Amino acid sequence: MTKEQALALFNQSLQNLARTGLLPPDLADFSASPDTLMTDLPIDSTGRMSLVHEIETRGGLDLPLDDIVDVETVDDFASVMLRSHRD
Amino acid sequence: MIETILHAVLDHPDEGPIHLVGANTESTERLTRARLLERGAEVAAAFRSMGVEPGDRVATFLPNGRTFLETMFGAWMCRAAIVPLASTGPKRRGELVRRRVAAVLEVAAPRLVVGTDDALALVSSAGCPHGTQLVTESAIDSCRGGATAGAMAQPDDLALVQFTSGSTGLPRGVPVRHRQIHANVRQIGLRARMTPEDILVSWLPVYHDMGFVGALCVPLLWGAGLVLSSPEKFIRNPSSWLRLLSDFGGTVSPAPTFAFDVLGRLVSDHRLEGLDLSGFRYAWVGAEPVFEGQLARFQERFRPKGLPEETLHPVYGLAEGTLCVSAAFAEQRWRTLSVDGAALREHGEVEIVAPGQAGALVLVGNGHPLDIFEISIAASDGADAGAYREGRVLMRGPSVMEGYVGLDRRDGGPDPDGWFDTGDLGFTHDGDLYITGRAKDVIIRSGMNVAPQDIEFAALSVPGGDVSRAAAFSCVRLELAREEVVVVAETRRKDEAAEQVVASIRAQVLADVGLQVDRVELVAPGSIPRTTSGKVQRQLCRTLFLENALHGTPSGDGAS
Repeated sequence: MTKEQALALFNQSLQNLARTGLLPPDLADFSASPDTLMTDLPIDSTGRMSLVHEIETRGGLDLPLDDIVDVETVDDFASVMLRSHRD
Repeated sequence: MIETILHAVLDHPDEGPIHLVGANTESTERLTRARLLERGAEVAAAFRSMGVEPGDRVATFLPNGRTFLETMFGAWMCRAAIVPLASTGPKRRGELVRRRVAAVLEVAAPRLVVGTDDALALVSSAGCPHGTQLVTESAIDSCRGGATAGAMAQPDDLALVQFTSGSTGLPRGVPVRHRQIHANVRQIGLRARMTPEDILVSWLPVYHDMGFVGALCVPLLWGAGLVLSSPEKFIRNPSSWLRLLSDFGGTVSPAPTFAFDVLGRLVSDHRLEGLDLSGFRYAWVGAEPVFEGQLARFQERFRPKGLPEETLHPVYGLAEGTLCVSAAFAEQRWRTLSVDGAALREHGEVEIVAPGQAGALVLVGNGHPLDIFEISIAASDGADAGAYREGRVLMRGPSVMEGYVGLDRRDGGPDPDGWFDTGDLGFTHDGDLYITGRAKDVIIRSGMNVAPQDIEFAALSVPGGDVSRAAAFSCVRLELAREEVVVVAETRRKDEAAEQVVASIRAQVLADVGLQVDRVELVAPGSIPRTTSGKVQRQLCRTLFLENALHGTPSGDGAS
């Protein structure tokens, strides 16, 4: 998995959850950039749990939950995804 | 309460060990109840030296953990009441948070506020009531010696002031006496067949009524063990809750409905490997509406982990009743009732239909009312609604509050005959209480009650003054088994500027209230229905939203 693929997986997961109603619907057409702050995404802690689960399911990943709690940007999140994939 | 616990500890000092689980680590600290009482006496001595007297209040902004427990016992051993408030980190410092903290402290009028450094800084900036002293967490930790026999709390003493988001938007303090906690907790335990062999596992915040009364007082009174984790740990890793149940041999646990939903849906299989839930025999599922799909999904997923079929028990309760109002007996599986959805929604009629029939609505029963409660279902004119009719749920009993702190009993308290209007809609059938809706405006999400006014205030605070009026409410989405939070906002902005308003509303509400807004509907100024006195009519606004009948919509998410 490359960083670009990790970012794409992040955005696909976000958009899919928005389409199914688990995240705000305007995220269905939204693509986060690497610089997007995680706190700028309009999702609360339950929404974040949904996102982690969606990414793990789609990507076959086992994300280290302690590492993703405090990530600041989408790029940081993608880096954790990448590490998880390599591990 | 404290006297009962003291006697239990003196008789059985080794019963009911307490395991405190670190929020960010795997470490646990073991505490005996005897040691907790010793520490409580030391803290009480320190409190007395700070001027705490019987009848005073000690407010806390503390996370789950030893310091909170010591402060609680210290307060009770001074015959003072504890006022548990949400601890808040440096991220939540908006104007709304400051206003809320100031309003709560004004009502609570505590002698002391015990909190983390962050929380005390917030209290200072919000404005501390005159005569209130701030006490740091570390000051409690360093209290040593000086313990003397103080006056023991009496049954009629105030034990707790539980703050709740009232439908008016102003925080309301529910006064709870020791005898009320005792009565309620005893009944909760009887329904669950509690014994000292039980081990209760909880991650619920101690400032929440389910977390305080249900997760702390229940094991303390019944001599059961307690494994106390934290909401931070649950949010970080939801499966940690079940892992604790498995590792510590937990037998009982309270949690909001969303926690069961999250575990049933949003946790990957590899996080659940090796779990043994065969000892988990009673779960209190409540604090928000319960949908059958959530229960069934959880049961199905964890049956292979040994989860017994009779573990999940939907319960109904509210702080104004101390906590629990109805719950099923331990040996019963949850019960459902299929009713005609249209008859219920349009006419308030309970027409029982076959499960699976077109238009059937499956409702989950909340068990029989506890023996200390009388329940009445009232029609809109206050008269008995009669059988097979939906109505307002009224309750009466010894653990129902006498009236909100600082307010006249007529202002939201029970009527002269002792009946309290819960603001919820429901009916009873075969002795079970079914909740069908809410007449009050409060929004419930993830077990937390949120005043719509807080969300509206945040929406009106978006930069640029783009929103002139807002209405917040929730709508049940049965297919998602949850309540959606909706904000309708009046604005003149259109097109791209309107999209920015939507994003700003979401961001502001998330920052100030910590809540995800599911739908934002922008409407032209004057579209939100109001009373003749200018108050927003949220129920009518919700109806119009659901019927797609809000006019003058410039843009937004649109109704579902």
